[in-house]
Amino acid sequence: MSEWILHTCPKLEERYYEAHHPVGLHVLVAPKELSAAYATVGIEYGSRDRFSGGALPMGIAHFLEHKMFEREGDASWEDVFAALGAEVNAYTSDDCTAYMFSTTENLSQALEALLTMVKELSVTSASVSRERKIIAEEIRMNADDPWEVCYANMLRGLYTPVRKGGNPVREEICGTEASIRRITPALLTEAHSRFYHPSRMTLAVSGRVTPEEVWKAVEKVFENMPAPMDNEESRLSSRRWQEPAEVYKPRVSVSMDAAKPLFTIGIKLPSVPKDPVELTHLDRQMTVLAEMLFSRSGDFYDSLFENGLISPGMSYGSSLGRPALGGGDGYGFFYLSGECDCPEQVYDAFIAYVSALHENGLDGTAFDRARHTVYADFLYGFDSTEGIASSLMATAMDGVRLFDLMEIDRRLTFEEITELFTRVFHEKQFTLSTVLPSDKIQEP
Amino acid sequence: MINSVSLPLRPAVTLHHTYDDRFKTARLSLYTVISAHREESPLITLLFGILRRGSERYPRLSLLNRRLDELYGTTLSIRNYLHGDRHVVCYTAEMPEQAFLPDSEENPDVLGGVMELLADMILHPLCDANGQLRPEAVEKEKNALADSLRSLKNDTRVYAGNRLREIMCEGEPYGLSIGGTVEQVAAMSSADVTDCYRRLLAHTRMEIFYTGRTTADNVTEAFCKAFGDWSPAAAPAVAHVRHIPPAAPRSVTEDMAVSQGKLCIGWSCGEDYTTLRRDPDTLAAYTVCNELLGVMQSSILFRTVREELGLCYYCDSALDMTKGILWVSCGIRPDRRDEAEEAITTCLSGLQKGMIHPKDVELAKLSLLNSYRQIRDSQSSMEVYAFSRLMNGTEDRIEDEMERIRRVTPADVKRVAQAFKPDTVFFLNGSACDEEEDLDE
Repeated sequence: MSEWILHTCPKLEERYYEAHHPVGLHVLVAPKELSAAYATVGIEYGSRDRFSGGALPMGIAHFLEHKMFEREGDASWEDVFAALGAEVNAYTSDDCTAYMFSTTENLSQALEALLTMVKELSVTSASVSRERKIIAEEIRMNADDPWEVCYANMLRGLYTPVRKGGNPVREEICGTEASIRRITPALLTEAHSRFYHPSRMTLAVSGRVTPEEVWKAVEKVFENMPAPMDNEESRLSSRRWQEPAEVYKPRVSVSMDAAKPLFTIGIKLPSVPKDPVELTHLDRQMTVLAEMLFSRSGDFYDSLFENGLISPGMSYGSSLGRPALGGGDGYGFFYLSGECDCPEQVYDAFIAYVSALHENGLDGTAFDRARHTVYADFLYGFDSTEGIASSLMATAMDGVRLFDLMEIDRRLTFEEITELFTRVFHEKQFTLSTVLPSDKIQEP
Repeated sequence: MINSVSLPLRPAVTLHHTYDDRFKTARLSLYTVISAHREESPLITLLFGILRRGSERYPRLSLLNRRLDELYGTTLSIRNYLHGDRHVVCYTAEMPEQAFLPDSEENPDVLGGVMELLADMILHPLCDANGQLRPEAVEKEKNALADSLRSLKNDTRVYAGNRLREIMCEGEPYGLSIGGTVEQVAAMSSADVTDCYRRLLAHTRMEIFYTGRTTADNVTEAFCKAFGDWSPAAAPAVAHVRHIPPAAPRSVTEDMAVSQGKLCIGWSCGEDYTTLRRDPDTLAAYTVCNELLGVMQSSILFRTVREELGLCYYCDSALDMTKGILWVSCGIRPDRRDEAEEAITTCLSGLQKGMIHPKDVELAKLSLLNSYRQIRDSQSSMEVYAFSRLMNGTEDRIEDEMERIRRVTPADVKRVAQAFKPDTVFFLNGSACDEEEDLDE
């Protein structure tokens, strides 16, 4: 029998149910009166976890994600979902692999298919060889995208190479053409058996669905599976990286066939907490601070834009990663990205802006505005079953409850945001990554 | 509860109001619809960029954005695109519903505020003493537009798709670049764009879509309060131009220093919405044919070109029945172009020969029906669907279209597939690709 905990948010008129299956699966169900149901299962296993319990080739988590769609027999899992009228997809990030579907009918069967798909792996040498070519094209596609390259190089500037003991968040999620050559059916099977246990999985479902329907599908797929071993964490002894507090390289630059120079400025947190609640709190602080500093209603954007230093579409944000499996440290950074004529000029303006803020303090009205926009973003997430299920999965994997975010946001103070700024925004924490058009590179 | 109504607010301005209390946000879109035109469209693109930069009340972009933040994080986006022969510019504001704003603070009238801001941007742009749009704002936006035109090549997938459309429909409104060329933009003056603005203000077609919890009366009131007595005359109706296929199929190749080539293949069928207005069953068959070929997740192209042959990461098809054209695009190693082109062509010719498994047609129909059922799940998809219906001049409901999809047979798919004739191939040749290495060790 399942024991459901009901979470409610009267202000938002939303609710969801939470339970843990004996096999270790974390289950969240949010009933919602929309036609499409959305389900997602997240696995605590991402590209950076290749050092947990022994080293595996770069890109293996992503490769495994591709191969999970293969199935014994003629039909692939794509075919199975298609026959149910459902649309299936997946992604791999540095700390998570997630599989999801949306459907307007046959929800129970699609749920069983989703859970069976992640439970079973079926690969052959021929199919792995074929997949290499497909992933090589994905790698080449990313390598041709100057924005992707600029962002990836920012991470390489912020974080120390893995061979020097740095944080693997800097590595390509897809791996490289060289690293995927080393991926074999045996290694994929090893990675699957090591990481794809339901005790590392979170299932979130939203739509016209009851907790009981979801539970039935879970029971059906996992009924004979043993519960996780108590000491599994210790079994996953990992290489614990020693990422320095400061950036690895303050400048990274490449030339490409881009139309105009691109820049991404990265701002590295010297350290991040291990406690999930503290991490979530920090994540919300970072979201508000990024909005205060870089939003298109702010002083910095205004001065860059009105002085013609950047093209209109500047993007910004923050990212925070929880500790890796087996104990590697998490990470955190802010980023700011755009197109401009002269990246160094933008960087100088950034340094001057930060310096002025240290001297004069942050703007209290920017804090109020940022809280408005962060609240609106939170609210928008409840307008689709995809938004709800994705947020439920992400917060549960972070070890917090979705509705708690509202309370955390409400309690944020200007003083704590100022303290975060004061602690992090120093030049030794900054990396400038640039992509310069090949035809505009000038010989020294 | 969902309830829709269309109300004329002015001779050339219509409100399409949908009361819908299922969402926590409301959505307001103002569509301006004009004929796509080689000279006028780039001016309009430039004009809307200038209007978004500031207004009399909010003279800087940051002040406009601050006002949006004050309106509880309302977002404002602009879409500038071609819908067949029409050039469409759309402002969309997404705003929190009043009922879900935090209790403890003094909350603004969000919809009223958004409507005022839009009216200020549209009716009260920043002008100089001579009533011209401020030359410095015009120059800055010209630079931004020229940059954005140059930057199109940064996304090679989109760039290649655009090039195929431009080559395929050269000389037709649908073949235009609505932002024009860098040279065209450089030649525009403040007087040109001001004249364009005055023309548009006097003669236009504006379709307003609102979805949310505010009643039609209150949305109308907010519009009237913000836009005052502005009452444009109706712009001339957009003339439909049929796509004329070339006498012989064309093939164009461009080089770019990237590692992956982009192959785009276009076919035309000689029919479109206007010719099929009385034959919606055939229109449904075209939709199923496209879904089966390269849209659904286990499409023929996906299974063959990606999964069996391992030629690419993506390979998909798209259909635009405003012009009756179908195109397939994929990213490949440049040296495998011939192989990919042959494989893709073989996939379509298989359908033309009737090599169609009935089960696959059923899968395509299931996929489409799933998409149709989801339209009412989001304000944006409801709006896009309603706007397309309006532009295509159809009164059909979602259920009518679904019923037609259900009736499509493999023989129907074969029949419409046979209508597609080779039109244009565009290949973006990745000239920075290394020699192929054996990926298997």
